Amino acid sequence: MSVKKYIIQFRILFFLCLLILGACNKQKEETIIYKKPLKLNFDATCTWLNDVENYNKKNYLSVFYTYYNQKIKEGKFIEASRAMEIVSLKKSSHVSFDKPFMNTINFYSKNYRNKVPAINASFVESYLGDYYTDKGEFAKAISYYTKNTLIPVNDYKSCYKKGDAYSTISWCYQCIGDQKSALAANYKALDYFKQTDQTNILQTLYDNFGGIYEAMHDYDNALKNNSLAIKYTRGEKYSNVYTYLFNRINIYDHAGQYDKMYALSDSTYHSFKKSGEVNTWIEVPLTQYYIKKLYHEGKFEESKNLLDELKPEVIALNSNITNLEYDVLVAEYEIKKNKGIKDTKLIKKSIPILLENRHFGKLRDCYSVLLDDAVAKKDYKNAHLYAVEGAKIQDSIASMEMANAVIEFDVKYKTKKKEQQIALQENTIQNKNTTIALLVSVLIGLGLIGVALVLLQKQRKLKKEKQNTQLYTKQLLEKTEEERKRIASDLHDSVSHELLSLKNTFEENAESTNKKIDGIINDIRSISRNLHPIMFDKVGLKATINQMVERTQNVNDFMVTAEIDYKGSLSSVVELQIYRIIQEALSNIIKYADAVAARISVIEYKSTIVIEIKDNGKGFNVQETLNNNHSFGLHNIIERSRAIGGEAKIVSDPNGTIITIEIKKHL
Amino acid sequence: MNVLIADDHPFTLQGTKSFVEAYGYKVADTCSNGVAALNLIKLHHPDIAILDINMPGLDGLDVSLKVQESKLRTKIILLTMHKEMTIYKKAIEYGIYGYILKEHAQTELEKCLEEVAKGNRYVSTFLEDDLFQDHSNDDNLLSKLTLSERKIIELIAQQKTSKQIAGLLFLSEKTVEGHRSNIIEKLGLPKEKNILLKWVILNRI
Repeated sequence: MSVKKYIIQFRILFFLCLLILGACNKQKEETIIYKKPLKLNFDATCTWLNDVENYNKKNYLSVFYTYYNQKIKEGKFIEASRAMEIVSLKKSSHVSFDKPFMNTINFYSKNYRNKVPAINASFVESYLGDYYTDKGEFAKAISYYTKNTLIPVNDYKSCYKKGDAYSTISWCYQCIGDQKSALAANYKALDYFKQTDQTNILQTLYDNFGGIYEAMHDYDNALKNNSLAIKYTRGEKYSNVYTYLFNRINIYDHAGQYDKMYALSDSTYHSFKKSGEVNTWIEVPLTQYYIKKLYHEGKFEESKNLLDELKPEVIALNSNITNLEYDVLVAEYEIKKNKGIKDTKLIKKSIPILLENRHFGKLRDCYSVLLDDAVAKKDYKNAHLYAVEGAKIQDSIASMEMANAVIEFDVKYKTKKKEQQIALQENTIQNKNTTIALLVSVLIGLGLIGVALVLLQKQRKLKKEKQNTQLYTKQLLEKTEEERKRIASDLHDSVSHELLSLKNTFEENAESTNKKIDGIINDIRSISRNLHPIMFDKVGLKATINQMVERTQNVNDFMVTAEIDYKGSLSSVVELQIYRIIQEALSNIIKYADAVAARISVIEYKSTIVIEIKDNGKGFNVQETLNNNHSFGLHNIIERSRAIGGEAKIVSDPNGTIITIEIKKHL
Repeated sequence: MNVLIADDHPFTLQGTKSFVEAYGYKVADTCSNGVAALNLIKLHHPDIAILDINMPGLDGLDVSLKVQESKLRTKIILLTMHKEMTIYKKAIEYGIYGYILKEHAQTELEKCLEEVAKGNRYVSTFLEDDLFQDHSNDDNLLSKLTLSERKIIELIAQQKTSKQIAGLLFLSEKTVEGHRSNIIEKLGLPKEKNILLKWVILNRI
């Protein structure tokens, strides 16, 4: 096999390897980042409605209703939806769920929502979800929010909406103690929020993470996430900072860090008051902790004033959660102040609802208040009952917390598993790469071995050729000696003998003497002719070959034809070699070929001379013959051809042998 | 009749001179190389020049060629040891008049000189014998035929067609056909179809 072929094969293999490597390279996924539109295409009314400053204005809702009804009338449902969306968001964030607005939303949902793109009406689910969240009916809330997670993402708004839905779902799960689902939902929200160019919207997610860590009693991480949530509110005019601060206080409370809790309660409460924000929903819990601080300091009078101040706002808000929180606040005050609550019914009636909704946190607060009350009233029987119930709730929370701990471990385990999986994948990739590298090196190795083999073979061939040449030289020397011996013996046996005989018969008669002398002369002629073609320079190649052909025909009775189309453009030295080659070939044919006839042709072309000697004999195995020791004749032909700048091609089969030599003229 | 003799062997030269003079010719010049011979021929225009072939400088053939080229009237006789047909053919090409072998000079030189002096060509009978030497001793019918013709007869005996014969002998079919008619003629056979095959079978060749 030729080196070229090897190289081509090697190249093919190499390219295959490259292809494999290319295919193994991981394609990088491109994440689309949705940019928040710089300008909201709101008309004057919508812009006004969207301004938080205006929400607390008395005409806020009437402005909305007028605008909304007009747009519905005009059939401009997109504008109507937009206005309603703005207002519903404002109302949700202020936990304001009044009946007329709810009815309007329901009517809209029934009649108009299918006239606008789904995304434009998704606020309906958000509002209803928020409504049920406030009622503590988290299962319902989640089902509404879930509808919004089906929004196909194609722009900033849809992406934000989807993330927001997951974020709220996470918070709901957190409230009912399903921290695992909370975590999952929050991560989903994170996925979507990260596809936007807004980082501040991550605040609610960090707040959620904080809550989840808190539920898992990992207060350090809870505080860390809470800090992040607060950090992202920076620079926002109306922000959720108070919600996050409340959550922070809550974390301090559950972590037992009361000093920090009281300090933060105090500063947050005053800060909130100072901000002038009107949001009862957040004011009540803030006040709750502030009052706790007041109790701690024994300032009951001040507490009472605060409670009284808050009461109309709570009533106005009419939020289930806030009502309960307020009731618990009042009950706590009564226990502290009067050693017992006048009416425990208020508290007791919320227990089944809380239980149904699995609102364990608040339930614990209720039993705690009832127990405190019973102890204060020295009603030990009920105190025992409440203690047991409280313990049960505590157990359920605790067990739930235990479950959460398990979940946490599960999460950790899963994370670990995922990490392991990733490591495994990386390992696999690495293994793959190693395999490929190995494969490539094996292929390269094979290629090199191939090349080495070819070189080795070539070297062997060269060695063989060298050996053959050496053999040829050796044989040449031997043959020369043989030739000399033959000439010597010819001269000795024929000429000397004849001369001796001549000497003896000299006296006898002149005729026989003459005959003998003629015989000697002819012997010497024959010897001479065998040594060198007579007057080759003068006679020329063509005539000499023709003479040889004629002589062969006569002497050997063998049919030889010759076609010599040669004009004499080669030097006499080269011509002699050609003659010798033909002589050798013809001699071989006569000796070994068993042929009927042979043909010699010497044809002169424009730039070459082609010599061909062919016979129709039995043929021979060229390679085998060349490699054995009895091929002096063939080597003679090959070496002489080489010497005159040609190459002898020997082709032989059972139908005969053809020896072709092509010689370049300009030699 | 003026004769020039050139031979690089002084002994032979002297011997030849003696013979030529003995035959009654006048030996104008003798020399021992081709160059001198050519000069002397050009100078003295001898009637006959007896030249050896193997000589230093110019050989006998060279001199013959120059003489032919120069259109000199000197007739050349080559007296040589060369019995090769190739040499003889060359010599004929160069327009020589006589070609005799040294070993038979004693018997042929006189006759040769005589013929050449008359303006005829004389070629040694021993040289002519050499042309047919190999098969002249064969006395059956085939001895009349050339090798090619005999080979063709052999192949006809093997029932080969002309085309097959042409292929086997590396000849053209036309050449083979030519040979066939020559054979028929030489053997004196009637010109009928497949006569050669019939003859071959008949004669059990």
